[in-house]
Amino acid sequence: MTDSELIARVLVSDDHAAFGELVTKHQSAVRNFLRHLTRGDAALADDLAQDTFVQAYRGIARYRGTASFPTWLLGIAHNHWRNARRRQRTVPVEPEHLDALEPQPSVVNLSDLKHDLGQALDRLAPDERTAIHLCYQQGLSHSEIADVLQWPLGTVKTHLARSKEKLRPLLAAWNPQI
Amino acid sequence: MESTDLKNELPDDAQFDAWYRTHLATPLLRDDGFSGRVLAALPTSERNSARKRRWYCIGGGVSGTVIALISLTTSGSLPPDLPAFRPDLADSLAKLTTPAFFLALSTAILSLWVAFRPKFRLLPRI
Repeated sequence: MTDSELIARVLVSDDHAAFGELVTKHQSAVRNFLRHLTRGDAALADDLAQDTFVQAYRGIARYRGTASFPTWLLGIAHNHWRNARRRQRTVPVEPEHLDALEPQPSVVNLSDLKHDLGQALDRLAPDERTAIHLCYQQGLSHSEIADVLQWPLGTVKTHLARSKEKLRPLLAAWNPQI
Repeated sequence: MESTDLKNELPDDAQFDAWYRTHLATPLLRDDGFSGRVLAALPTSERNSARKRRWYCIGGGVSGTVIALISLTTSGSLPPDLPAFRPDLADSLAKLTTPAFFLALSTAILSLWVAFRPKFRLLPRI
């Protein structure tokens, strides 16, 4: 069943099971995004993800369908994280959790690549890291990233271009062609 | 000039994107009961809440009426001849102070409160 059909069932008959299917489909993207934003704090990320879905359920009638449903969810998640950060001032960084953010490469010497990738990403500004995450880890288009973060499209492109320029020399050893 | 630069950048960008998509791909997180927790945290639907509020209201009203009638019957103050009944203000006010009346009134007020206050904390799942 497509997202639109599930959303229609939630709207028409207040079908919790249909909403459950939406949660199951999109929980990974939302939780991964929040883990990225909280720098790997899985517990905080999951709390925020839960709030995100509850908020989405309450406001599903306001979903216009102009963006994809996961993009809309990521936008809510981003707002929740911003509010939480405002409340707490600082979100704890727990380095041991950073591994959860890292990809699972399929090439040799995985731990070194993971380490270098982590270090390279740490050199980026938070906004640049978020743009890179949404683009390469979540697979969003530039306009979808602009929707999620409520940035102008030009700002998204600038952040991505700047990030790539910073990452290129840092990761050149792994693939000189990039 | 600008277009030449762009053309030169395109293959690089494509390679960069491909390499990054491969190595930065996020692993799918297992649900591990997350969906269940979200569903448990969902608010009760407005439709169910309205139905429950109506039943609480009716139940509270009926309970209050029954308690008031029982208290009047058992206290012997129910007038045997209603047309001849002339309310005595002092007596009526005195009856308001009886515990049974207070119980009835409290039940009615509580039921109205529960009925029209959706986030009543003592009954979070109604």
